[in-house]
Amino acid sequence: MIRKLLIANRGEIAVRIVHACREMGIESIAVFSEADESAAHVEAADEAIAIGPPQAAESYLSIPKIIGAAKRTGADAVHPGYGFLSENAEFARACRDASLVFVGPPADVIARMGSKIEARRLMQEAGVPIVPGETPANQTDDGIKAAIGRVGLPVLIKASAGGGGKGMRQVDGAAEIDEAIQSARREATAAFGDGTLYVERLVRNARHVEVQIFADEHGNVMHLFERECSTQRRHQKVIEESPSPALTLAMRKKMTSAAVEAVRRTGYRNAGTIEFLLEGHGDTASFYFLEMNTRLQVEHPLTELVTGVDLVRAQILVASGEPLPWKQEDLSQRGHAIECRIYAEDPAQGFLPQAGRLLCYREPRMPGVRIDAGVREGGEVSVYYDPMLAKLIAYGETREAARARAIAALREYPILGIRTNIAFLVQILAHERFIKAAVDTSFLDAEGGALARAAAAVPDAAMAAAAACATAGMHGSDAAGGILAAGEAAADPWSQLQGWRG
Amino acid sequence: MAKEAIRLRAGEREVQATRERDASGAISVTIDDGEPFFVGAIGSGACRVTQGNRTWRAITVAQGNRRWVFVDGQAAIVEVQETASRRGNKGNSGPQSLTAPMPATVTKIMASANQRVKKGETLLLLEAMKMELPVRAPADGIVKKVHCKEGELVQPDSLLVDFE
Repeated sequence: MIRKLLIANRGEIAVRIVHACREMGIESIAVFSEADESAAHVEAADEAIAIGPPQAAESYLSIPKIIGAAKRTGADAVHPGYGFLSENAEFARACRDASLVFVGPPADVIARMGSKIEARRLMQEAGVPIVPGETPANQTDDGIKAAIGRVGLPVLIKASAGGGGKGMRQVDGAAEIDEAIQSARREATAAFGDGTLYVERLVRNARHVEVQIFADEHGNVMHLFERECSTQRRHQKVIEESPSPALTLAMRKKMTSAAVEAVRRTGYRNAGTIEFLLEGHGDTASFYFLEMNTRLQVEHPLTELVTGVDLVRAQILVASGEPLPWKQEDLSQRGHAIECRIYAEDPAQGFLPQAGRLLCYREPRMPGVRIDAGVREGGEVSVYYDPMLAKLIAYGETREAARARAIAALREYPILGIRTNIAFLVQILAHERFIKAAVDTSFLDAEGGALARAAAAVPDAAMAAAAACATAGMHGSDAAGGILAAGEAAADPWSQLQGWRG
Repeated sequence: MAKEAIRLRAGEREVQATRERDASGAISVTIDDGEPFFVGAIGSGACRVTQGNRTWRAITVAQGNRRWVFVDGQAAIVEVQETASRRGNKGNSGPQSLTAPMPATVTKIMASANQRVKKGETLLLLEAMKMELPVRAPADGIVKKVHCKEGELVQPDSLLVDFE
């Protein structure tokens, strides 16, 4: 059994893992860079250890530093969270070599699924449909051009080592081919050190539906249904939900069976996700394997809310060698959950990431709303890491109830000091297409600009509140004219009041 | 009643706000001469904004000369461009009149006629709503005349001090 677990991550997911540890009586160890000395995850954990400078490459992405920290603190296990080293086979291997339990799949499975080309081949063997496409053995420009010719335009050029949209190019016309091949290869080489490319037919108007799977070392392989993540901007998920409103019962059965079958063949362990593209509607829809994520997903709380299980606790149990704490037939979907990712970004300025101090940060508290956050009031959001501050997950008995709750909660979620996408999220949730569950992966590309503009509008009520509080200048009555937002610091003239009496 | 003109800017949008405090101390604000909003503090950085039968809760926090305001899921950064009372105290040059912002009792007068004072120096103290409220010199200058007495109850907008 695991006694002391080092969390090789930061932000909300590190805090989430600390909570699971605490429930299980496991000591938690946070790691932190110089930029994170007083971060929320550092405060949350039982113990915290510095691992170097702010740059992720020299701290959160440094295998020797993380392993060293685990050894120094006497940890017997490592949870990688998501991002950073979570899908790094070398890291999983380094943990094993250092006699640390890696909370995730075996290193060789990570490596195999990390190669998108290899993953496609494995899925094809398992009988899982893949997006029609080709992996040319001839990786020269001419070789890839020939592959594009056989697949037929429009296509997506993708990087074998890819992820997060890096090394990916959409090609609609023949004139774009040369430039697309070269830039995809450049980007893939820079990001992953591997410029191997493959070509897929572009599936338009597709939905992104993924299946949560779980396997233990006792031969249990099961699925925990699906999540839909079609509301994405440039391949970055923004809003996710579960169940998928696009799946019929028959499609759900087909997709989850395909996922379980594929996982059984890969010798997988622990939690993972198989992502699919869903094309068409109803029982005649088609789905294609997109990629497999060999880790916990950002959007895992959706599954936790609709199935009622704790995925992180199960991850730790399975990593300790215990069997999965549920049986497939015990699992069912109940109600609906919607997750909104709260990003420190300015939708009005092309979604530019924002940094600064959180002057005000107050989480909504209401029934059916879960907040997983990695920040707190007064904290500093730095430029070094992912701009996701928190996740707001709303649960309700129906999709509409969950949607209404999500909007109500976002409206009660003041974050001041840095700009966020909260108003943008409200705009999406209130959009007719979202209400009708008619969102595909192109939705935000088409509507995002208009929604961002609508989100930037300043209501008169905000102007009125600002005017009421204004204390600018000290001219005559203005010195006393404003009402003050309480708790404000000495910079405000009202703090010069001689104190309350009576 | 004291009316104050406040020019506000949020992003591209600039508005003219007029702020007024009635005898009960309640604050009303009009934006570009629209229907008035009534604003009342409800503690911990929050205020309630009412217009007709609509109500919003606003959370605000000052950051330098800007103010962040959160209303209904929308966060705005509002900058105060300038503030000028309609009682002729525009700018720092020339004579200015300091007036009472609300019904208050004059508890102490520090300034006297022809006294040279520095900016920020306390000229007199008012008490209202159980708070002591210093009236300070808006700039370096000379107190021309004091128009009130200690213990006097002053009404909003009534003249306290002439200042030059």
